[in-house]
Amino acid sequence: MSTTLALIIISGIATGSVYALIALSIVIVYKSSEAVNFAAGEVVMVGAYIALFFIVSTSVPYWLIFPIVAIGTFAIGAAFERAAIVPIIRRMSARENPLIPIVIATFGLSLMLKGIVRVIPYTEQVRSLPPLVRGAPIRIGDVMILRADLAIVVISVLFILGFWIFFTRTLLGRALQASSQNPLCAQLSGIPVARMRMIVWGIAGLMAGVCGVLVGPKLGLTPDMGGVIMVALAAAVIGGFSNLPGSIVGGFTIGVLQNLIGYWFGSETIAVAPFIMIMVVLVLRPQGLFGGPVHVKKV
Amino acid sequence: MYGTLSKSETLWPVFIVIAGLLLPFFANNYQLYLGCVLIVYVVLALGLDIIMGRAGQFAFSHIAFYGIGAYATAILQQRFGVPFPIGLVIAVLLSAGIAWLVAMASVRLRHIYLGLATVAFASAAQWLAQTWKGVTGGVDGMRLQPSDMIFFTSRTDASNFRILAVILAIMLLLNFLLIRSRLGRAMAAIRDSEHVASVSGIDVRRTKAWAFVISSAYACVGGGMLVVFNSFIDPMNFTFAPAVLLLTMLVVGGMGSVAGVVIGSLTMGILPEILRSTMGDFIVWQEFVYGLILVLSITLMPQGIWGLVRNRTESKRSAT
Amino acid sequence: MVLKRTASLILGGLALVAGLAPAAWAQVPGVTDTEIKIGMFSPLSGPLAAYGTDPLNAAKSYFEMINDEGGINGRKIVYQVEDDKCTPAEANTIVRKYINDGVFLLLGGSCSGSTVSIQELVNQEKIPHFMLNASGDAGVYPPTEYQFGSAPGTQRATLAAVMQYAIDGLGAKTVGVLGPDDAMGTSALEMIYAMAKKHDIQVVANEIIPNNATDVTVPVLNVQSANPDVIILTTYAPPTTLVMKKVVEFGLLDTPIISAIQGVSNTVDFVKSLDGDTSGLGNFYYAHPLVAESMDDPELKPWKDLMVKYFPERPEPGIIGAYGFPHAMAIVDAIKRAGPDLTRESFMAAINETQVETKVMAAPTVFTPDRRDSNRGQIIVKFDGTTVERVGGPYIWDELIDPSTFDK
Repeated sequence: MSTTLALIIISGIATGSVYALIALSIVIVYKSSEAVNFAAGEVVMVGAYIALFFIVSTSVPYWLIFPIVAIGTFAIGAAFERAAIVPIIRRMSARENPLIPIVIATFGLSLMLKGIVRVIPYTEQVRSLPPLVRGAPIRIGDVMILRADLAIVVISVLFILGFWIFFTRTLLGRALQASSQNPLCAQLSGIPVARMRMIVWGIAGLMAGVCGVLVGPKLGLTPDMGGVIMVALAAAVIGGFSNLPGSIVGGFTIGVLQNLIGYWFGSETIAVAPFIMIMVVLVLRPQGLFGGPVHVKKV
Repeated sequence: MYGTLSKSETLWPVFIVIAGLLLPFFANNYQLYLGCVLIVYVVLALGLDIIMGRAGQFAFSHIAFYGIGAYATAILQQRFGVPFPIGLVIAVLLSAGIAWLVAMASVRLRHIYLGLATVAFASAAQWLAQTWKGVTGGVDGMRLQPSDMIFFTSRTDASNFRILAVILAIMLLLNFLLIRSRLGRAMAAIRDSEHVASVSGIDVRRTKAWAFVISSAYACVGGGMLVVFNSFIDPMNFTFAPAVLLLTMLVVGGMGSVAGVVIGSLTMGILPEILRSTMGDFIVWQEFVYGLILVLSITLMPQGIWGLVRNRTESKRSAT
Repeated sequence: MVLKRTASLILGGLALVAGLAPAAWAQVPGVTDTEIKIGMFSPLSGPLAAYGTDPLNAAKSYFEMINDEGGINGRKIVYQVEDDKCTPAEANTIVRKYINDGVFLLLGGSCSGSTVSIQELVNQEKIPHFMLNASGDAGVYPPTEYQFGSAPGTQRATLAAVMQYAIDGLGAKTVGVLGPDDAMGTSALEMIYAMAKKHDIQVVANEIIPNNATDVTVPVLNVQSANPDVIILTTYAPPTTLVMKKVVEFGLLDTPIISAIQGVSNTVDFVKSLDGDTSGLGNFYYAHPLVAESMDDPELKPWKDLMVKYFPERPEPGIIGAYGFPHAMAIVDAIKRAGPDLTRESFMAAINETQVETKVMAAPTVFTPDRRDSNRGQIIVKFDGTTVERVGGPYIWDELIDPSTFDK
């Protein structure tokens, strides 16, 4: 394998780990509310700017930035669920599908978040977060791996593992899973389903916010960086959209594949690669590469 | 619902034609141009409502067919000298063909998967418009000549507005006819329950495909209309943002009803104009306020403005 | 047809008499004995607000200064402002609104798409339109009578300077290009290839980096493997940041890099965008059209003070604001020369002989009947992360290459 190819794949894995986290954030919301959160990208952006604010104007150590951002973006997600999702579902009659109104509301949220951030003075110019770790790249032969990239992958994988343990081993996590898999049964067994949905939106916000801190050093910060959601959507589709481990694999796949497509077919194809992948996957296998049979809601 | 048109359904198109022909005598160019923009929104939203409101399928690809319509009519007119009305018909046939292929490929998809596949299709189409320089002029866009209407050439805002008003009336009439047709009923049945529809002998795949093709044809006509009253188009006209705007119009107005769709497209179409002229020094907050209005209107009226009006009147009726 | 036309004449006449009587009597739209009305617009909200706000304030503060000095030939400048968000539809509505309100001329537009979309309209209505800070090559090549543009210089002007310096100053025999797939990127490429052909050098790599790129590994590695003598960046600020980070990562430090104006708005913000990491700037150059590199340099400080005087709510205007001055100055200059009998005709005669030393731009602001790109000069500076050193220019693009090269 040539050095160039190795570098391309390594960089793809690093960005892919971030796509995987955003995809996870989208998928857990989808599992609990059957709607796509198109504001996830903007929550990533807000997370990055919260981190920038604390780095620029306080002397908080880097590791402490993560919990601060996590709390902030959890609050955004949970508050949005209370303020928008609850009233929408309450006002819809049972046989109507709330999917489209919720999607529109997330578009509204994304405009609001962009609108707020844009008014803050230091968002007019591109900014960057400092790298997570500094130091010379690790060399394996001719191939070098950046410590910062390694840190992104390690932290994302740790986060993903943490969520996996949370969802499968803790009481709250299992209650969350139960209430999204079968709300009626969960309700009957005493789980407060409505509150569970709020927590899910909060956790989704948290995941996206942490992504912001992770990509901050790698991508420039602009109020429009939320556009990365399109790639994350592709990752989620490849993964089957309702399949958590699938979307993680999808994230890495798309990070690497996007770069490979650009390498083989020319850099102008990088932008369109995620969309082609979505179409190809859905046409050939409508439930995604790792999805089970399509889940049909009985009315 | 099934059968011949009601009185109001025949009168509205006639009224629009008359109003459209007379209004330019009283309105200035600014109002006429704004009117043209709103008319195109109404046609696009009516088309999107066919697939989303009537057939209950979540499709984002509308904006792509809007672009195909615009580029096809523009290219036919500029490069091959085809007059606008003939060019528009060819463009509609072309986009119907493409829509049929997309429908065949995506008919198995339901729900959010269809939504995502069509998001991808629209984004890829926009990329193609940007990259395929030989045909679309790429990012430099296309400069448009005044439209050739066979009998005359439309050069002024006034005549552009009249042409658009006539097209709107035709599209509205066709929409009423569609709703009352067999196909329209089949679409409504699928929206309510695919299962029940297929049991009662409706060919679900065919009906969905037809809904998609007709809806896309509306978008294509909207694209043709864009060419009539603008002197320049570029791929930026067909990005994700206008796709979201259209969806917003449907939901804010109220899906599945002509009145709701028209109200929605007029409200959301005029809102930027209102915000721009009223916000003064707070103009930087415009994006935020727009988002806030969107979230508030969805949370307070998930069935849209028209849904709220209808619920009010129905509850009043049942109370008495 | 005849009947219809008569009817429309009568009705139109009635509407005029009824509604627009005062405006209808005024001889020249937007001009009275005491006032000259100007319609201004630029993006003031949304993604591109940063490109519109400061240039607009610059132009407004210049007009205010002229008014405070007593106006022009006894007339004060009054202006209206609208937010076009850089979208063609909004620009079209705004311009029509201004035409109906009766403005003397238009000054506005920060993006190529919205300005090109009104080109036919302003020429049809014979209303002079000056772009604020849009550089849009498409708006000025080929020139049209009533649209004036390119205060900061077109991509043609920028890349001519960049290429000339790459060839003369850095002795390049091969260049590699990293640029966006938008209007700016394509205009830039046109000049790069034209200059390369003229000087018989090779464009060995031409890679696309879209404005919303997230991973630029592939294009950067492709350029690296082509091993050019000089790398040229025509990307905007966000992707430029990504490229510079990769340059550090892959140790591409020996190859000189020249960025066009859109990549580096000013040095302070550029270093901030790299999070203070200047290790990639060992061999870094960029082009810009101004007399100085920062609003705090002595040459630009008076202009900054002027902006802050009238718009104290923005105490640190960005350097991009400076691009708002030249056309405001050209307008005032032409109105002065048109004399007390100000009409569109006398104004057009005056503007077609414009040659203004703005003390803002490195090259003079010039309009002639067949020249609508006011600024053709760019300078090249070397930036190592702390100091800026002027190394070439001002280069004037039509002196470097025959403009007829681009005739289609």
